[in-house]
Amino acid sequence: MAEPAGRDPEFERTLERLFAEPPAVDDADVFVGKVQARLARNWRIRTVGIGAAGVAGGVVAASQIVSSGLAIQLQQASARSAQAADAVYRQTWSGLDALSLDALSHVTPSAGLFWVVSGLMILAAVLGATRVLDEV
Amino acid sequence: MADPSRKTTALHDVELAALAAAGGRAEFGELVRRHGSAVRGLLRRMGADPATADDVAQDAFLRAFENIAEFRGEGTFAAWVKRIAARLYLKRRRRDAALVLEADPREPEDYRAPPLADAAGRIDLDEALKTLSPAERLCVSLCYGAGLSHSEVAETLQAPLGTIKSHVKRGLDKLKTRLGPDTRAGSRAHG
Repeated sequence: MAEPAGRDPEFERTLERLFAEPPAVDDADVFVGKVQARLARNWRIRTVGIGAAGVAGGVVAASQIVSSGLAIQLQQASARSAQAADAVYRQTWSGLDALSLDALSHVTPSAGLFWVVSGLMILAAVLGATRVLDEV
Repeated sequence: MADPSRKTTALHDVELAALAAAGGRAEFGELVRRHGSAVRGLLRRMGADPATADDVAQDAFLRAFENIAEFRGEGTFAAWVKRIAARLYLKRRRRDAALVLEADPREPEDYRAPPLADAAGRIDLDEALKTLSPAERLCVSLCYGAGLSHSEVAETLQAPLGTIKSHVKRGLDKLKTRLGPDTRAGSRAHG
């Protein structure tokens, strides 16, 4: 393809080569050190931020769970479920006395679930706090 | 995948970039060591003072680290970072309202003929660039230093394409006058 009038590809290639040659600087190591220091600082800030967000989220979630009276609600729901199951069971198996339902009415699996969830949240908060402390 | 047991200095830029993408700050440090001077040099050639050039170059490398996954080795790593640095520098100048691309009919004050080559016979591009107006210098550096096309320069500078072409042409003519024959001799000597 013909070059536009006035263009000098050879000179332009030479110019590109000249631009590609970095000028000599005597503080190259200092510059590298500054970039790496800023990288490390940014990394630390980001890690601390993520950890702090985890802790805050865990604390908020735990406080919400506690303040909402979820345990009581779960126990009530559990009791209602047990009563419903008991009614169905009695209706279905009326006349049979093969199983004792008294034990079933006292089981509150939802309360157990509550403590498992709470435990996991506390664990998440502790892990977040540990990470923050490691980075600080 | 790069062998982690190999020293970073023995790795290619693409391998280092891949390791940096996985969080390898030491590997990225090697990239900075290799190309830091080139990026700083480009910014100075674009007209930045040394302090600003260093500051923008640092920002460019930080930006490159954050977006290292976008570098896939189609071009060279140096060219990729140079483009980032050039754009950051222009953004800063626009922010500081210091970017003026008006054609300046006056020649720069320092328009005495610069030495064409230093004592070692090398072509002194930096001295020759001082003979260009700021706009010419900027446009020539963006095209031939950062590898941007005229259209990309126009878009980046938010200036008409014709204006950019004019600045580049005038800048090239001046550089050619100053460097032309000796540059080619130097090119052959170095090549």
